[in-house]
Amino acid sequence: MTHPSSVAGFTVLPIRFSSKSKAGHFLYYREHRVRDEDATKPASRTLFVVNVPPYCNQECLERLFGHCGKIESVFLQEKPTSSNPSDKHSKYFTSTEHTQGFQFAFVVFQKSSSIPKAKQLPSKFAEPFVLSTVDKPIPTGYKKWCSQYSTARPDVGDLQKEIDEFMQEHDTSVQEEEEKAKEQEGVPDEEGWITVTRKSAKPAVARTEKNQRRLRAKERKKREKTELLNFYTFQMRESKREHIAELRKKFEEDKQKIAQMKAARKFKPF
Amino acid sequence: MAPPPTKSSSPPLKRAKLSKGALYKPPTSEELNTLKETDNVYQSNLFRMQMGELIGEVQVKETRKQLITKTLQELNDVLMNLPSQDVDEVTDSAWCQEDVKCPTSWERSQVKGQMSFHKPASVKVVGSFLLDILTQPDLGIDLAVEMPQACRQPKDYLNFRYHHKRALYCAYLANQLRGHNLVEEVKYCWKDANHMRPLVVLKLAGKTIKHVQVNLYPCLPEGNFKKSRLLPSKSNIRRQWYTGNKEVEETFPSTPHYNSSILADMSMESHLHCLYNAAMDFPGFKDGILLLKVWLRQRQLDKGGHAFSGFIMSMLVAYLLSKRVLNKLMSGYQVFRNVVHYLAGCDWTTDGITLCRDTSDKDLPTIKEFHQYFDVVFLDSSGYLNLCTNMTKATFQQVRHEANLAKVYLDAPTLDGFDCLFMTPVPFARKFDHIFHLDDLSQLKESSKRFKQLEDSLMDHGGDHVRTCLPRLIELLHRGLGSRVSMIAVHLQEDKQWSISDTPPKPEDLGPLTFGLLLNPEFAGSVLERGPEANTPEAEEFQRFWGERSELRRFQDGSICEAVVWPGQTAAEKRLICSHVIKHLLKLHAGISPDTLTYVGGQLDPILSLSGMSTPHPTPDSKPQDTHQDPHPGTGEEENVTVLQVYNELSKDLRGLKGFPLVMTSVQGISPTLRYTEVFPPTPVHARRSGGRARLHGYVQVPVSHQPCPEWVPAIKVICQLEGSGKWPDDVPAIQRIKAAFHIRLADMLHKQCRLVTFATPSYVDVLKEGYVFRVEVAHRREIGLLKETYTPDGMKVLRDNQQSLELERRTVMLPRLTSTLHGIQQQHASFSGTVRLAKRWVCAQLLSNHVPEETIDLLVAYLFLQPAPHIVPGSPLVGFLRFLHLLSSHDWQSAPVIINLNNELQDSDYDEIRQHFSEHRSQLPPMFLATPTDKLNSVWSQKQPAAQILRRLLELAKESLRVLTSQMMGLDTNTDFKQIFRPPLDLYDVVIHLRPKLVPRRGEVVDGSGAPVQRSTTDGSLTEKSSQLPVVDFDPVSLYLQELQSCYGDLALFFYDRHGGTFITLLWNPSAFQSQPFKVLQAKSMMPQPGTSSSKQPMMTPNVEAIVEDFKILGQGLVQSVEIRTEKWVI
Repeated sequence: MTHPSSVAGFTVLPIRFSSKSKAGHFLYYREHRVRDEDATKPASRTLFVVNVPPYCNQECLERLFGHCGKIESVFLQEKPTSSNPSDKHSKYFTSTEHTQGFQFAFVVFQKSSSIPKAKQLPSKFAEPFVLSTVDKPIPTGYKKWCSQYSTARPDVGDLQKEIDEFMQEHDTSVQEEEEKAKEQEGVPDEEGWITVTRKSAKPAVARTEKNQRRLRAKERKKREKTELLNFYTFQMRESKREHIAELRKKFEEDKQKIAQMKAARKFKPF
Repeated sequence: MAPPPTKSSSPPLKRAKLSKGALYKPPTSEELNTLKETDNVYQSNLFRMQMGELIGEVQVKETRKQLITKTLQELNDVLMNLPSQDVDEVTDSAWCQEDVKCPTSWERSQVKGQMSFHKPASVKVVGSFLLDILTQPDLGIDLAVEMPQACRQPKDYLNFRYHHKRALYCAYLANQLRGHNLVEEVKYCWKDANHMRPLVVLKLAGKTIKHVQVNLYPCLPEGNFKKSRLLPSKSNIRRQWYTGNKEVEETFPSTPHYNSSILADMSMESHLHCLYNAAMDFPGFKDGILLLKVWLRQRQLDKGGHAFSGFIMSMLVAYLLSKRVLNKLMSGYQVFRNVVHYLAGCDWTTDGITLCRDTSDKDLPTIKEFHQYFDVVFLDSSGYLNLCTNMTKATFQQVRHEANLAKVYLDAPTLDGFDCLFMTPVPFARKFDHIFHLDDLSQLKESSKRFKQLEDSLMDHGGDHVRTCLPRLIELLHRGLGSRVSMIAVHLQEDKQWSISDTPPKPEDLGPLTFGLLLNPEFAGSVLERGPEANTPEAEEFQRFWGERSELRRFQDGSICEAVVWPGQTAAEKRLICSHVIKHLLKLHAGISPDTLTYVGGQLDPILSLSGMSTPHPTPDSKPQDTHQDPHPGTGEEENVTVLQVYNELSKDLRGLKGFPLVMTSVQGISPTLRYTEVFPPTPVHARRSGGRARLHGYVQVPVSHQPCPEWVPAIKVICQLEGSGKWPDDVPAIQRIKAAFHIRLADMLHKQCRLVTFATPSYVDVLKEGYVFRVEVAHRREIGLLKETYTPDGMKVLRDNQQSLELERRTVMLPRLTSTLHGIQQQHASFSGTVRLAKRWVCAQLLSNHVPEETIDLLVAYLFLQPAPHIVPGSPLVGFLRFLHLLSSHDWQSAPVIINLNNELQDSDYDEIRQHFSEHRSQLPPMFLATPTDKLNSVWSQKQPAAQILRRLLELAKESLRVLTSQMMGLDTNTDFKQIFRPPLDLYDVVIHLRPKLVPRRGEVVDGSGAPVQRSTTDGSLTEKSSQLPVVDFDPVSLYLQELQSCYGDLALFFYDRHGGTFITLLWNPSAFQSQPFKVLQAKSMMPQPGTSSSKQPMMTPNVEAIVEDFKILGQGLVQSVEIRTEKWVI
């Protein structure tokens, strides 16, 4: 079966899971283009790859695009954002579940000359590129789940060690910040503003939504106290009118409700 | 996926809008009044409007009425011009053709007398039609056809001569009317299933008067016989004549039922007058009776042999009017209300009532005398005829019971009273906790011999064994079951009609007799029936009653008493004790063989029992003694209780830990097991039994890839809330680390102080206790708050829900609360657990387990128990499940929320608030909206699932299952395989992925187990042996596979699976995803460019189906056996 060599500016590259597979997906890629560039993904040397199957890992991509030149790094991401995914990766603590679906990849070459080579890549292969080879099999299915089960149960000692290190770092950084805040207490910044916190000598109320709401309610009450109700004739007349209008609305709503029930044949008992 | 909805769903309620001018125009005084009224009595006003609509719906429209009247006039002309036929002797049947049979069922050889047929003396419309109180859609119009003088002889009342002539007259009418162009069909029917009173039923021809049935009652003029001759105490059947044996001693026993049947034919006109007088100048009369009739009909009380008919109801209204309980100014609603209140408080079985106000008649017997002859007494205006001649005590008690319920619904503001009273049907199968059928009624002939002193009564009933025995049977059951049941009812079957050419059916042939039981949850399952002390006269009586099952027992207080012990070790067995009692007593006293008795109560138990999968349900005829040797497999209740005991010990262990840095403010479970809603509660495991399926990693077993999947061991999840402290850090990652540190600490301390096998991971601790694995997670409230924190652009701190915070809140706050609340419901209502588990099993069996969250099912069933109206709280899992199906299929999900008043915390104002919010924001709210006291406006549990199309499918399945199950329960379906509704239809799916059973750890839970080799929970000696290995926990490859499929192809297809051991996953392609579209970066997942398009145009993209199907195999390597493609839909 033939397929177009490019789609909307993306180069199309067929792949297979293994040599035995009868059908496979297609990778779509082109040079990386964004307005605000990230240092780790320079536009001139980066390839943006779409539709990376879940079993296709970093190693596969390196092997595939290794044909076009040396690779600096490969990023696999769930969303095609140009910013970097979280910098520090903990072995045991992840903020989000590891993605399982189709992904996007950024392949950064060492030289920008690799990019045009990559565009010619599909013509190099007669057969679709095979991901899982005999030397480097990709574990999927039951095998993968079994190993996941083991890795989800790390050694307690290692875990404790990592926690301790993290907490130490955390504690020092918190302390540093506190000290810095103490130092700057009462010192105005360039524009002359002074930061006041809960821990300042004259503690300030935090600016939260809750406090804001409380404040507003207080003000409203104050205002209501000073206002006169049903004092002028026009006020009384107006409030009566409003009341009747309200009742009419309600009555109309009821009638509508019944009409709707009737439409839904809600009154046919049998 | 699902076919389009059959019922057109109404559009969401839009806020009513009036133009400004209309809104503010000056009001008239009249308008002001109505508006004020609406304002003041809002609830009842809506109620009143609804009732008005209902009455309009059920009453006969004016045009239709005129049409019917016209046809009736024509029919009248036909009847009044019938040709005469002469017959000499009543036994002579030569006058009529062969194919018209006389509707009598007794031998006629003995009846003597003259008879000749002439046109009726008069034909009058009587009953509801004239009074305009007929209810749509099936109209029954009664015509009183007065037999002419020539047909009558004096003393006809003796020895069935009148009855015989009446039957002959019926045959004459049928013969004449047959084939007339006004009449489409002529049939016979027995009035109130009384075979002494046949009548001719005409189905009129013509489209416009469809559903109209005209009943011809042959009757007598009022003074035909002297009424005193027909008093209940009088004897009008001669024993010598009846038995045909001249040697029998003549005793003149009273024949009250026989006499009434003649009296009733003489009183038709006077009853009409009575009602007519009541209805005069009384506009509320008609509305009230229509409402009452709808109410009765929904409860299936108004039709059948011993029914509380609409006629009796009308007479009751006339009675209450005469007693000034009602007055002629009352509205229909007030009539309904007062009648219901009256019925709830009266007892016609001991204090009958009479419409007769004339006390001058000396012959007139007192009501007390009537009570000697009849179960239920309500005398007509003459004072001679009991209108409730045929009613059994059971029927009256059922009416009273319903009236008591109705009384409550009328005044409950939180309830949709209108719906409960008039719109929701209360069929027999859904009303009663257990039901049983007597299939072979010919055995009652034997029964009537066994019961003493029934010969006279049998004669009185003209040889009808069913009618004769029924009161005795009910009495027997009441005595035997005692406090086990709160009500016994007999199902009223609609009067059966038969063709005029058929021989009339015998009363015994009228189909099975069905009884319903309302169980008393406190005593229904007690295994012991303690009798009187030994060697007393009472003891002898007790022995006689219970037969050989009665035995002497010594009790703890030292007394020796007669007692009956029933087998019952498991909850499932205990639920069936009533069936043992009934079968035993009916065999002993009524000679009814247990083989012919179908007891419906435990038919769905095998669904819930694991070990019982291979063995069939104990056959109904297995004697109670047998079940001793072959114990009932049990339905998981016992296992669940054990889990809870171990859990309680664990929480004691946790609280009692010495030296734990922070106080645990609460230890709460979140697993369904801990709220009794796990379909198959876990059973203790033994690490030794891994059987090579797992490899040991330290003391932790881990699965091995080339072996079958280890046995399924669920983790029972527990949340440990820790107290707040200034030392908790202020950011989320740090809190996560601290929590992990606590997990390590907890694991260590539990191991050292309580000698438990534990294992800590960053997010939980696994604890092995008594063979159960508990997964303890430490939680801290502050984390939720921190997750919610965000800052507005101007630097203000605001709390906003996000996915992570909601997920954490759900797990650590809401789920513990839900678990403890539902645990409480189970403590109050023992059937809760069984019902939820059946419901869940059913939903999973329909392959919807990953589309319908478990908690929603828990809540829906909780709703059935907290607000059972129009029923009472379900007393057996089976009926609970039936009502669950009904709730699913009948609730109007589009326009009404389900409000689950857990712990009774919601007030009336809360209900209003929820409904208001719901109707205003309907389009943003989830398709299935469940409100609880702590979650009034968001419906947390059903927020993401079920999706609208899944819900629609669920409803359709529920509707069909309900239909099948109900007909099976009522014995109407020949297929008695109750597992039928737990087998999903597969024809609509596009792809079926077959899995290798060896890698499906829960395969033992399938509905149709082939006696699979999964052994679980053997309570042999090995249990005492302490295991030191942590088994493979919570490892279900199939669910992992499903997750992957879902995240890869969730946009392209829907996946369906039965969590409980299903060995296949089915799939439906999403048709909208298969429309070809141009290339888009974000929508390029698993798409392929369409080949063959010209290069000038951009290629269009379509799903790469072949690769996807290939991926199914790759992602599930080892697990997937084959992928079966069933439709060609995906080929584009």
